[in-house]
Amino acid sequence: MKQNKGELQGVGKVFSFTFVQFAKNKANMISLIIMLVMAIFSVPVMTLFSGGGMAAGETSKIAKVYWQDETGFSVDPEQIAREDSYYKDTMFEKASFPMEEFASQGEDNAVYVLFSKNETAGTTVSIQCLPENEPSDSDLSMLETLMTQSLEQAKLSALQVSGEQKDTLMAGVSGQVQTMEEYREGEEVNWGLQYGLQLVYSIVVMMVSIFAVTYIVRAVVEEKASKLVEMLMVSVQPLALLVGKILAAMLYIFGYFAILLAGFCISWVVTSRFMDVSSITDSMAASGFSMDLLNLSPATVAIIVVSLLLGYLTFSILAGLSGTGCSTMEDVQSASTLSTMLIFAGYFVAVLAGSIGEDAFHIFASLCPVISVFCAPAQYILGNIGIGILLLSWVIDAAVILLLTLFSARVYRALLMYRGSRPTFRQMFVMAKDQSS
Amino acid sequence: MSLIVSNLSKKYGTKTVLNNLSFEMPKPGVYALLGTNGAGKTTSIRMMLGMLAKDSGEVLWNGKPLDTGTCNVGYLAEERGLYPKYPLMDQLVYFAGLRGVSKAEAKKRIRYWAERLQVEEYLYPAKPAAGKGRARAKAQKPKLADQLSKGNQQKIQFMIALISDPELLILDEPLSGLDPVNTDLFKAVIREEIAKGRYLIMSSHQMATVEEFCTDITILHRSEALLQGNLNEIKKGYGRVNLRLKTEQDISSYIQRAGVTQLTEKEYEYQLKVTGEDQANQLLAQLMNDRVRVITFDLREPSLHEIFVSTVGGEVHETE
Repeated sequence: MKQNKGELQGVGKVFSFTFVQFAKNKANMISLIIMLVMAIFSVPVMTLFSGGGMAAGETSKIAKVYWQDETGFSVDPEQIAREDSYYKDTMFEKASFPMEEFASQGEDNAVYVLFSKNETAGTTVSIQCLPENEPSDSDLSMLETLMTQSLEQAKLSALQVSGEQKDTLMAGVSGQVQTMEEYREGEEVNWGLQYGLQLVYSIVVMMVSIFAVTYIVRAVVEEKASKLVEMLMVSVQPLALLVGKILAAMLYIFGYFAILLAGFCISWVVTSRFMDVSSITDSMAASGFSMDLLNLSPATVAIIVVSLLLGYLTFSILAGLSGTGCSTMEDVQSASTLSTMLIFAGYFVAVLAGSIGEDAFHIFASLCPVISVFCAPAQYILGNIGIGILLLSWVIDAAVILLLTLFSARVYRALLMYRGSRPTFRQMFVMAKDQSS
Repeated sequence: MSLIVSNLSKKYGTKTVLNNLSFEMPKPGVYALLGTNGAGKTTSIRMMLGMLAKDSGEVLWNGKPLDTGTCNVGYLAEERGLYPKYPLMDQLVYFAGLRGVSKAEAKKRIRYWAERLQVEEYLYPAKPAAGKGRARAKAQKPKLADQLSKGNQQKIQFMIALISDPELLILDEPLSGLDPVNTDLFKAVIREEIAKGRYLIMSSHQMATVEEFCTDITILHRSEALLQGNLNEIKKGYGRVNLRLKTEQDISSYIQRAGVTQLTEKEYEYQLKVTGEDQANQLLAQLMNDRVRVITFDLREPSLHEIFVSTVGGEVHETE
């Protein structure tokens, strides 16, 4: 009879059993469904909140706009509205009556726009609508933006600013701080992007790691607290038990995120058919974040995946070790603490790395074990470290994982049989020494 | 096939938990590891199965170090458990798979053992009754381990130990916590396994049960093997010293005169301890001489319980 007793034999069986039980778990199912629903609705919700939300070809529901200019800048809102297809069904008409008489003389489904000027507030755009025919908030907000633009342009025209000058003035200002070296090399540094990218990547690593720690600690402690380990250890080696669980949790967690990503992509594709989603990309671009800047090639994706896997393995093995030291389910919380603290430490240093411009710090953060999984790929994509440093960080991470695995292989069996208060690291080292002798 | 355990020792720091345990099973049968709590029985079993590192000694199966990867071992641990929230069938198939039993074969064996141990209703929930709408009964969900009584959980654990059809079966306190009906059921299954020619190692506190099955024993006390060997030989060594005597009148004076130790007395039924057959026969002769009517005269070897208590000195040593 073929049995599973090699150091890693039986991993497949442990993996498939653990994965199926993760997937069948009701709490996991409910959490996945909730997150998937949130991913699916994220794009339409974000579109609406970022000022977009109109369907392709959609026009304003405001039938008529009465306007009156009391600024003396010769504002012509009709001209700017003609350039925007959203207002193709809206009539702009210079009002022949004051704003106070709008309620009595204005047509249904119309609004009244007054451009005024005073000493304290400068120029003002006031929009009045009839209570019984109040347009939607988004329509009013868009009209206000358009009317403000119209007033700005009129003010510039009154100052006899040329078209080219007008474009220059309306283009806005962006700031950039560079070192002399960067300036000489002509490097463009976008601090918003630096910080944003590092932050987003760190959050992803943190989420994956915390998921991993939670699942693995729970799975290990559950097995130990259920007094199953002796029955299992007749058939399978302790290391295979741990590795099977780590791989099952990895597939589950990465699958979980892949499903959420797929939900988001479907949401994007479907939403863009009915709504103008450019407002999201515009908002991101306004914060200095663009997908083009990420240079999202297959190589970049591979770098991110390798780094995520290394990070996952580091925290998973640590979680497995902490979990095995526990004897009851009540210890789960304290068992997760060490790994969670390390994850938070890595995250905070990574966020710092995003806001500190020192090359030496970027290299340190990319090479230091635990921290490097949060920093190295983001810093490489941002161009703050070279491929050599990135590869070295992977080698260091792989060495740490190997050492942790060897340590686990020695101590895991003794820890599984251990009963009592959680052992200290010193006790664990003594156990490892005993096992080797 | 044979099992040889030689000079098995284990220390935790300066504390010895097992000192030079050796025994042999040259042929199939039942070997009992007996001892007070903390004597080292479970430690011995864990070391034999490679769960605990040995300080010294070896365990040979067919002349080679016992490897649970090559030797088909079934083990019912003293610390018993199941995944509380996973379906029982999944767990059984998983454990069978870990022992190298294919899924199809595992399902067949699970069906057999479920019937034998009377746990079918938990593994094969009733199908919904035919009918439409409200008349149609709801299908029962498969049971989870934490929905079972302790005795039924123990049956599932016993199934796990037996599912690989093991050559070497190790049962650590197999009958503890069972009601009399289930105790009989487990005993019947153990008898069947013995009949199949298994090598069975059993650890128990229930001396009557051990006596019922075992051919050879080791009594462990404070990490040391105090008494070892074939149970019948050991008993013969003690001689026939237990005398049960029932009469129709009070014979206390005869017992006193004969120098026999009286253990108990109830309605002229006496439990006596004699030094040997001669002393018992002298007492009987005296009674017959005086025409005392004797209803029962039963002279026996000591029970395993008595041997155990006399070996460990009636002392309960809690160390674990």
